[in-house]
Amino acid sequence: MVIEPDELVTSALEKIFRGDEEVKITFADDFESAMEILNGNPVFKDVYGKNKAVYDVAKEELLEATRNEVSAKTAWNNAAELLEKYQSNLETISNPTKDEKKPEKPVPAAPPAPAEGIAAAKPEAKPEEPIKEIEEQKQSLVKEIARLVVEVKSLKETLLAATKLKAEKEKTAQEKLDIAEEAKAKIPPANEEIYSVLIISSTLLLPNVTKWVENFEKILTFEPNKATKIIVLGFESDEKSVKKYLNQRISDYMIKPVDELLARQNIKFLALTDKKPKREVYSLQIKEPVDLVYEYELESISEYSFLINSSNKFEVNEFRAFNCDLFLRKGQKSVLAKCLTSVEKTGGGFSSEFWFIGMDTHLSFQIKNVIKNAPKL
Amino acid sequence: MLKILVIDEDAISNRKFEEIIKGKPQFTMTIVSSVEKATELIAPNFNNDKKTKATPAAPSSAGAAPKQEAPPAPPLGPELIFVDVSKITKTIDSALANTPEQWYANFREILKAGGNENVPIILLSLSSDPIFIRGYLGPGVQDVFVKPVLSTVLEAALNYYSSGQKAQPRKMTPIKGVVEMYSQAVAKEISEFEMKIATSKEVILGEFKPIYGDFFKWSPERRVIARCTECTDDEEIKGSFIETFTFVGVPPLITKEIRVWLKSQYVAQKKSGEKE
Repeated sequence: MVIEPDELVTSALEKIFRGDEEVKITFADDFESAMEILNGNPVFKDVYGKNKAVYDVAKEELLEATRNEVSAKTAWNNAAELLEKYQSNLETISNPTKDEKKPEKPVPAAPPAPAEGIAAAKPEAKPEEPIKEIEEQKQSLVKEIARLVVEVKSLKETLLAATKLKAEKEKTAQEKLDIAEEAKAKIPPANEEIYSVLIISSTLLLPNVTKWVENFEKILTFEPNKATKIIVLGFESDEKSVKKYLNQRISDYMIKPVDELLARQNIKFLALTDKKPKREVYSLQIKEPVDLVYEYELESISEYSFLINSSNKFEVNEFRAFNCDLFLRKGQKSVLAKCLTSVEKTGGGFSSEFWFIGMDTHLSFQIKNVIKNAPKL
Repeated sequence: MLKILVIDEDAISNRKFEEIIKGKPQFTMTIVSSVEKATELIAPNFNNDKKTKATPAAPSSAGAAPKQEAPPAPPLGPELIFVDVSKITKTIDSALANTPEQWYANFREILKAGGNENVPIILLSLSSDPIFIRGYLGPGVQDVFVKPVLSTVLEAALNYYSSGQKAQPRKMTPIKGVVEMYSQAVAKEISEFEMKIATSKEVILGEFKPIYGDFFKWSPERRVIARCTECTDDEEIKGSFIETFTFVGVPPLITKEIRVWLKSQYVAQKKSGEKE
């Protein structure tokens, strides 16, 4: 996996591994897309999942609105039907036909299935009753009709509101469905490949490499890719700059423009855990002295000695060459010191005192100066 | 009283020693210009004993009276020795020693013959270069003074040794900083990607360490960073480790230098028949 905006570098890497069946390179445009690939694309899945959940809520609301609309429609229908029947009865009572001298017992309006909340229709007037009774029935029907007219009107409004709400919910649900479907369409085919090495441009790790590593560890969720080795690509070549990118999580730093042979060997060496490439090119059996550099925290200083904190114990009387920017002049390689004491501290680690060896006038002057100007701690 | 022996022919330095000692009855100082003269003072019989051991005395002819030799002077019994590093260098290729290690071994024999092989030795050096000085460090060496020797440093040392090596109280000033300590190791194998070295210190896998070595003309200021990719026990030396360090972030110029050096070494080895 390579995240490198510099096309010269990406094309160089492509060239280095062209035709190499052991290496497959994937180039990512940015950190986010690289992480999606390293995580087996769960980001898109997650986006779809979230949108689908939103759609499901909208769908529920739509169903509720539909139920309300149906219920409102039924109530309105029942009330309207009843009103119609009352009106018909009223007309029958008010305008009896001429040939009906002896009006027969009119077919009473079938009591409608009372809609919820609607009062049951009152028994209708009997034609045999005296005129007074008929009048009373008429008046009762008129009252009932008037009440029903208001009720039907109100139910009509409720129905319209329910229909409107349903339409809105329908629209919202459709929108949410579209969004979810869009997210679903973005999910690429299942990709849970294991990447051995992540090569990343140094600029993407700044300003704080440690925080970047923490963030990377947090975002990386696909377990097999948690072992992916990190190689940083940068232009800086001085030790101080290179050191800021190096920590336990970062395995290598390559200077741009990359040396083809070094890049091929080092990348493959890190990537292929089982089949390490042979490194026989100009390999020699030698026996030459070298020096390893260890860094320690300076604790205090006197005219003749200095105290350092270390995780390891030093041998008393052992001589060590050392360097400290604080009191060595520029260009001075190092100075010798001899371990006087190395004692374990209560909180862990060791405190070791080193005696300056081979002190000359200049060093003595420098040390005195450092002591004189030391900030009070 | 602290008996001091100075082995140096640097008149200016010797005068400085004399000036500091002057008026201090707790010190007595003897200055000699060579190790041979020092040997005569430390162990007067040392050379005679060696000759005797080397050539057993021939039976004296009958009637001849044995030659009477002057009784040797009592050994000086120095309690602190200052020796200039040039004396060690000069005696290399001489009968005394071929290397500083041999010089120290022989000098220890002399001190042993004188009655105290554990006399503390302080080296005097004109050079303050630790790489130069390091080559002369040997058993018994307690300190190295760079010439011209600072009066305060010399007095502090004399007081330390005259007081039974009790460290004088030092006023420590708290300070924040980073000290780089250099640990000596031996490169056993090298390629343009990595270096296999033998060390006495175990390095954590994955740890980054700056490395330098004379053979590439690397120095504390011009060195490469390397990551420990392998660490195993040294089968040859108990308590030592063989560590593989892979170079990290090597500048192109150094990569080129390594290649040129390796190539020249390769050619040289091939010519000499070491490599097939």
